[in-house]
Amino acid sequence: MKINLTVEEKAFAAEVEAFLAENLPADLQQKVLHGEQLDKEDYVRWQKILYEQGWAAIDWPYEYGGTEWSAIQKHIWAEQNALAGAPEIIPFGLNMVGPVIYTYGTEEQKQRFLPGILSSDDWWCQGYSEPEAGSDLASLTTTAVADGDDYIVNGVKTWTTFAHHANWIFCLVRTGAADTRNSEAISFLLIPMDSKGITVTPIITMDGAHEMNEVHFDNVRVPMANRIGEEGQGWTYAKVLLNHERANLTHVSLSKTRMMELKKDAEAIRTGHGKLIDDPHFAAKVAKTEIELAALEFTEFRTLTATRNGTAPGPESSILKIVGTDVAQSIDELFVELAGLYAQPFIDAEQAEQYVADKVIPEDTINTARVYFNNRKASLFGGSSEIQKNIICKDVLGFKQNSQEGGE
Amino acid sequence: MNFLPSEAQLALKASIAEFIDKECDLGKRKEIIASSEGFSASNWQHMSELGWLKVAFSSSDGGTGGTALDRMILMEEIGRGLIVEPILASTILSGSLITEVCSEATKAKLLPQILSGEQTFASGLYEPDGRFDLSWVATKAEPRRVGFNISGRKSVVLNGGDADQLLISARTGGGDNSPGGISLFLLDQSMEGVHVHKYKNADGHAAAEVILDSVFVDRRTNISELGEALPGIEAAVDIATLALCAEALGAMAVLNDKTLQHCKTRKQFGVPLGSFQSLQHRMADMLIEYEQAKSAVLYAVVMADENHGMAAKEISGAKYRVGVAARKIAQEAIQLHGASGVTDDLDISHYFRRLTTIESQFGNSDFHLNRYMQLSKEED
Repeated sequence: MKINLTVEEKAFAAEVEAFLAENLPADLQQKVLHGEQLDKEDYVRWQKILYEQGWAAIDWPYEYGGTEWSAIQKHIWAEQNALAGAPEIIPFGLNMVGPVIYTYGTEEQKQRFLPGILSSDDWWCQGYSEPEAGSDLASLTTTAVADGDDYIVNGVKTWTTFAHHANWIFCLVRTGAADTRNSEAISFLLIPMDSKGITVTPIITMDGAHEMNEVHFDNVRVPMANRIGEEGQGWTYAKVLLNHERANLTHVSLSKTRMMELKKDAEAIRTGHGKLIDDPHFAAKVAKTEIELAALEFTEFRTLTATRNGTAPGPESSILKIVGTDVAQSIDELFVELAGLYAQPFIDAEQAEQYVADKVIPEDTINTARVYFNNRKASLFGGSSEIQKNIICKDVLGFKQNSQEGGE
Repeated sequence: MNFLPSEAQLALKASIAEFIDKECDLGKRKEIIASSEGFSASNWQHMSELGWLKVAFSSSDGGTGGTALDRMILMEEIGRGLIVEPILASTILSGSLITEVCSEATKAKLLPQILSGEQTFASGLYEPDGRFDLSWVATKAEPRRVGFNISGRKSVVLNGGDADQLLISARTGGGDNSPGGISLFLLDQSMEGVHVHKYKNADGHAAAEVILDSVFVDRRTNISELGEALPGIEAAVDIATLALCAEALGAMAVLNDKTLQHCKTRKQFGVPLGSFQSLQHRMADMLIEYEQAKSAVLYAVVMADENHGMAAKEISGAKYRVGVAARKIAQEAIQLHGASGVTDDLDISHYFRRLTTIESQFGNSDFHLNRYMQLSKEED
């Protein structure tokens, strides 16, 4: 999107660019630009740098430590970050539980939890999905039974990203009778990961990464003071949070940077009859993806402009999630096609380093398959594309859903 | 036109299916992949004892089959079983190179080694700067008084890490991408200057970069008519491409079956996922993709068998159609399985990985679409 910036906005863009040039550690930048896995320390190091600058929570209201930037400023920020190769923000604290706490938490909870989220001293994970409650999240069966001033929590959460890094988990749990299916029996609990009775088991994905986990709760005692808002209202809070999450899943700026890289690479690749970028089939796919991405950028911009700082966008954010995911996955596919023969090798990090150093294998394509594989989860997480369409049908188009079809 | 399997072909199919049922599960496959050889010697021995390797070749070459339909039936089952043993790389690709390029004397010497499974072969035909272009051969074989001095590199050589013998295309004349001047050489890893860098592909199959650094070889290592190997290389790669398409069909059939099963049994919102019409239509589309891909492959098979193997256009058409279907079916199988589809624990992601890798082997979809267009133009 080429927009005319005001003098102030230009100054802001220059400030952001200078900040990134000065503060983004070179080793992190290299990892990001090469599509390598980042470890916990990498993410925390970067988020702490942003925290020192006061730019950790760009979506939060000013009073809680946010920036209250305009939609244009957020756009500039995202774009500059992607161009510079800055790590993505881990969303669970800053984009997900943070807004729930400042919107629905007590004063005491805000003071207790928000500083650790801002400073990234606390690492949060999300306990929503369960083995038998995926798309149908409201059917979750992890229970929290009152016992004096505590709840006793039992159940299993799954697909929990970075649970092995986390010291806190925010969970949806069932506080009503065991057989109620309706969402009014669900509460929102904050649980320390070092609680007695919690075990974390890794789930390895097809890209070989350990990001996801199962989290087992075996008679875990959680103070009622860790419940957000009213008992039985957790579903309402979670829906607001999901809107925040979705709106943050477009990855427009990252996709733009990747498209630039893709075109540059395709310029350098020879095919039988010329350069890859001049292959009509490939070039048409690149153009179509670019058109879709430019439109997505504007759809996102319209949503951001219509949303007050600190609040969640409406159900239209489902459009952003669906299209953002589609575009990102199309770019993954284009990179696979671009790699040609070299889309095949799948080399572990240590051997890859050696082979690249010895010039045995080209460096640019070393993580192509890995990135494509890893990103297949994008259309499943944060509410699958199918669930997003259900939300659009129900909450935007006003279709009444069949009794069995849930909203999320 | 015959595309229905014979009694013998049906028997072969049953024998492979039985073996796969008994011997091939995901746990064993992971162990095999993790081993340094990258395939199981005992599986390989079984496969040769059961006669699978001979099916790819005609009786005049010492085999028991040799039609495109024979290879299709074999490879569909290989695809179903997600087999990592090098039937494609060693038996079909390298074996066909020998039948298509070499003299009767060379065939008589080398084919028995391949058909018995006693030795495995690998073929290095692609290069880092050539993408999928078989005529791009920058590897030079310079004539010396008593033989050749070969230098260059070969990309993503399937089974290249542990093969007993390496077949390599190298240029004995002409410019980097001229069709004339390409010859075929038989090398092995023990030769001085042959550097083999092993790795695993995304589907777990073993592959390697082969770097040839002033490899001095005697004249007998050139196993083609000097400078005349390209047409035979293209014919052999077409045979292997069609076999690979059949393997993809087998893998797609499994994904469709398993996805349907999952949607019929997995309950969400109190009902099976499969009760949602939007998901039923997705599975109908997956079936349509599979059937169309299968027909494109069978059409190429029939054309090849009726025209002495000459079916380049139809084979490119099949590879393109299979590529489109494979991507769609693999992605949809994961999407309809939900997050469990992306895990290493479930076989769905392993089929996904194999199908993704197949897309990039012997030319990706765009390459074959372009080749189809080119060949159509030449026909007119």
